[in-house]
Amino acid sequence: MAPVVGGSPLIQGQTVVVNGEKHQAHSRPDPPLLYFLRNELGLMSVKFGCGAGDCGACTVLEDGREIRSCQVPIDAVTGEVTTVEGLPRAWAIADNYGAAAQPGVLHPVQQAWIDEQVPQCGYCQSGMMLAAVDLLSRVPNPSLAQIKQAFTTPNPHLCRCGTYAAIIRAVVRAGEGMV
Amino acid sequence: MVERPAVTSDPSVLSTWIRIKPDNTVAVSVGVGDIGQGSVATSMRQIVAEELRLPFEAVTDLLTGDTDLTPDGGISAGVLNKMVQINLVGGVGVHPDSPFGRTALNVQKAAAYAYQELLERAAAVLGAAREELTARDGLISAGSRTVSYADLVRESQLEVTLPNTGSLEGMGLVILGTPPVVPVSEYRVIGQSSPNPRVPSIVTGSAPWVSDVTLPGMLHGRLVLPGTLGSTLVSVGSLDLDAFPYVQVIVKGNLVGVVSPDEWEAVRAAEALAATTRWSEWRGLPGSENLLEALLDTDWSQAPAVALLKDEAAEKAVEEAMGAASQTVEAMYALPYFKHATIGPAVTLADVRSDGSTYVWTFNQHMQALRSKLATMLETDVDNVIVHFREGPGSFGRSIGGDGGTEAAAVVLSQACGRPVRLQWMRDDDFKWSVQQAPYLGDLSVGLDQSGRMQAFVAKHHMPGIDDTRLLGALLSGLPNGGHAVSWTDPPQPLFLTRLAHEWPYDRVPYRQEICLGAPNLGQPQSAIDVGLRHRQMRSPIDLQQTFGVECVINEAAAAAGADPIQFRIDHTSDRRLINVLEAVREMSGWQTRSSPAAGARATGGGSVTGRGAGVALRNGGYFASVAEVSLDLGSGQVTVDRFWVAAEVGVVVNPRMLKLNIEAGVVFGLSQTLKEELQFDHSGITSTDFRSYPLLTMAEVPEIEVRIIENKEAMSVGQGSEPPNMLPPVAVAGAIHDATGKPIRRLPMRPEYVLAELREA
Repeated sequence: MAPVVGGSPLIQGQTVVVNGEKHQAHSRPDPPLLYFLRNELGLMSVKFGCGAGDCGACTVLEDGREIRSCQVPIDAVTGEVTTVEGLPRAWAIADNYGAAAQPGVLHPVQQAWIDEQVPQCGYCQSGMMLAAVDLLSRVPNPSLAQIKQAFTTPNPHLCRCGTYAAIIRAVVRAGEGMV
Repeated sequence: MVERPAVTSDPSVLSTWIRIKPDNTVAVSVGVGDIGQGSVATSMRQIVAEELRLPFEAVTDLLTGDTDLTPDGGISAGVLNKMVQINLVGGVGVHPDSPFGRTALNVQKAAAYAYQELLERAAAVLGAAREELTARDGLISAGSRTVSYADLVRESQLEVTLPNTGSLEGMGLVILGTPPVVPVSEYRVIGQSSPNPRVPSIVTGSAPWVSDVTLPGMLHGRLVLPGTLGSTLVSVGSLDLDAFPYVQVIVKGNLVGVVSPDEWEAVRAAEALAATTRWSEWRGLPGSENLLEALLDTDWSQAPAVALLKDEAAEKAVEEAMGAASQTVEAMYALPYFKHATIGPAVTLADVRSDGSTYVWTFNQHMQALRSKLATMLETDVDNVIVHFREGPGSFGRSIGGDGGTEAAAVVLSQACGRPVRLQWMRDDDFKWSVQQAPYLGDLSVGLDQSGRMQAFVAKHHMPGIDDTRLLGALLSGLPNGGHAVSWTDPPQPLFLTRLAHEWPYDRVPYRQEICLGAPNLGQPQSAIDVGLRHRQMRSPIDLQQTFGVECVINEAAAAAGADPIQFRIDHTSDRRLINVLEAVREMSGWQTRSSPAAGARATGGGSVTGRGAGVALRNGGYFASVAEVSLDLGSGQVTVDRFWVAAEVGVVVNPRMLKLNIEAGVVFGLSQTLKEELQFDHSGITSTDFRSYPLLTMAEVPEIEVRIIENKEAMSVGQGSEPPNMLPPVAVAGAIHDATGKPIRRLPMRPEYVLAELREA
């Protein structure tokens, strides 16, 4: 007898590593990663925006590179997934469990988002922060043009509230905090 | 009988609004939720802290938008604004010593009454006269004797009676009376850049969003929406139960939905069911490529015109002044339908219980109106409907009036299956079935005298619809849609009435007439389900549209007069606040005083040209002036906004950093409307179904934006800048293209193909 969640019998499936922990996906046939992260793991920072990869609200990291979780079937996930909930841990690892591993210490990108008061509604900001983490891991002190490009191509990260200018300031600030 | 929490929601009791907690911190309740710009989450705390002589951090709890627990109802828009209170509720409750209005004024008064009560109790406890008392950080002292707020409420909370009036489901309750409030000149907490307490929860992923609420036994719902905006259901399709073993199909009138314990199964089942569900054909829309013609062909006599001058003699004087002008500028301006285009689609969790109570969790700007409409739909008492606000993706007016799209349908599905249902639209549902901001057609003319001064100004503003706030789920399922069904105003207005929304600062123009004309929603009269292109207000509603016409024709009049567009504005006003922001933006932007178009302006010959434009926006007591620096590729028609400057004076500044962020964000929103946004539709329905067919501004397109805030404590008004900065870019960018090319741009969006067409036409 398969386990039941919410009345639905579940099928044993893919094993996925999320924020450092192994999880077995139980969802019915091949849902996009998004539904697994939200409904089975309760990682609600991952947001449904468009279901088409056009907006970036559902962005997560796979082995440090951003992917649109609404577009990736769960069985296509091979790397370690990081969501906003896992950013403090990721930073502690990057810091070799030094000062960054203290309780309450956020990833510099998260802290920069607070320091710059970036959110308007905040719905897109998980995706924005993860795009920033990806960018800063590749380009430690990005130029304005590099930041704009990272958040616009090939698929844009959209913010309806219009926080782009604040995001740019936060990325610059986070970059300074990570060196 | 519905179970009730043991908390009073009686608005006439002070402790419903404000409670002192045992640790000397404060809890506040207000009827509206924060929709992103921080006016509720941050400013309300600042105001309470100010009146109670507490630090900002001491206001720890803020309960918002709960129809059972929060006292005042009302709408999440302009929640700080005194002018809104003056204009929309006749100034009832306005406090002469307060710059605030609406929710903010309620909160300020509640805190002020609380402070007076605390002083009175302290005087008794400390055995001192009230005049000898000082309050600081939650302690009241008389010399060396001290008592804390918490001690003063240990026996009983602040059970003071608050006089109030108004309508919960309309503009909300208003606290009456004029308790002593902290004078504007003595503000300590108001005026600080206090951080928004929601931000840490957003960046750590712990914020409680509406999309994240779950209940035991909850099912996921998706809809199969009608084939067109006028279709009725012919036959429900079939589902392969082997493929979808846990799905239940629910049909109520023209509402077709599926529910499943597994969200992905619900998504796929709705897609599969849609493929075989049949709807009647309908072609009742003109198609977006024919929108201008449709507006020109509309019968604008169906609604009473709203005219500035109602007196025939005065109207005739305007005509005569126009006739006597030595030069007239006449132009027609057009704006498309705009979508609110929330980043996440609408979602509601509804739980219709067997005892007849209905619980709803949703992101809505008008909780009590929603409650009242759901009660009407369910033909039950309002006390049996409980609506809880949860944060959602910024919606900019889309749910004012109570209908955010999914609420009623979620209730219908939950009632049908007897389980809590979390109903979420998919992206295309949201684009095709949500409301939109109505389009605009303006005929404007300016008469100039021999010296190039404006003598006469005439505007005819055409705009169908205003606030179709009927519950979509009730429309589709054929259930009652009464109460404040058609509008959020008191009393409700007909759907197609419009109004004069923009403010006119050019008092040195001697003759002016403006007429506003309304009409029904396009398609609605023909739709078998009474839908069509439903309208709802969107960020600076009607104001943005009318201001586009007014400010663009003023730029054109300045050009015709050979005058500098900023100086031309200054020369036609005696309003010092307007002059101050115009002078500030002129200085910030390094503006060269000269006439526009620029010498050497050209619209042909290829390559790139640059220009600069100006415009102002006034709204609810706030003054904003802007300059845009723009380049245009004459070959492709591509418009690039390179720099944008804003000078703002909103009176008292509650939170300087938040105001600046809101202005920046509003400019980006307005640039998106200016450059990219236009709802596409064919003869049957909306064809902008995603962020490709309804593109928003991307980060790459954001110019350098510089904001300067001018404080004016004497103005006795406040604004948080969420509105109207989006009104600025359409005018300033159009002015800049005119400056660069010598050709006026009179419609939005400035997509390359339209810009090229306008440059060829003009």
